[in-house]
Amino acid sequence: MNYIIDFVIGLATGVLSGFGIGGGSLLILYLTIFAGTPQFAAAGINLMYFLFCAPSALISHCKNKMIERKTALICICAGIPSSIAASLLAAYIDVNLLRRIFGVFLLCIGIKELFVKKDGKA
Amino acid sequence: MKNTSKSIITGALAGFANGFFGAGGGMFLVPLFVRWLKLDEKKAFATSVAVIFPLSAVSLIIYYFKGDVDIGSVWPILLGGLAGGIIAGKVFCRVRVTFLRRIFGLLIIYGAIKAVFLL
Repeated sequence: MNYIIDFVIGLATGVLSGFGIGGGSLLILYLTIFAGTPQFAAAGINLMYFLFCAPSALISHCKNKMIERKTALICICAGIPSSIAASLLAAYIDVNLLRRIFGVFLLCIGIKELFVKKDGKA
Repeated sequence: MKNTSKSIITGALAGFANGFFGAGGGMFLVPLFVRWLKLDEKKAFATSVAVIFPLSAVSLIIYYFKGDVDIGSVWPILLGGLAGGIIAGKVFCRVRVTFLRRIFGLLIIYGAIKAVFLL
């Protein structure tokens, strides 16, 4: 039964992740709140899950000509060093503190998303 | 500022958030893409996925060695994510994201409060 719930959660957050709406954050919340997974491990699971989820969505996005290739390429090159630095930082910080910071971050994002304008401006 | 410089800053910020939280890079990217780099909204969402994918792969290496990611117990989630990604790609151009974002906002606030108070 747990397997089915996990699959459905993965599916629902997967659709959002494929859209780029933040399914990963929801998955981490599910894992930490309902499955009791520590924050850092949940984040690791989410990163792995995104590697499963993103490729098929990306292929479609490419076919639909939805990806700004040049912008993406520059962002990736700039993002790799900061990704590594931030991952190492997260690995050494206290897990509960990490979870609290994550909560504050999500609170800001959540309030912003709630008041998104009709025309969809972020 | 030139678009290249803006892209560099945007990418570095998103990489930091995504690496630190193991998620959430897209939530940095999309607003910056739309407001600062003036990308079309739909393209901003799709492009954010393209950026976060390699950044997540890089971060995962560190998470994998520093944490205990037990693949054996999470495979249903991984399979769900795989199926969700396929669906997302197929229906992306036909879906209005504003409604989804409101629901997402509510869920995330609920979870955020639990996270802040470690509930």
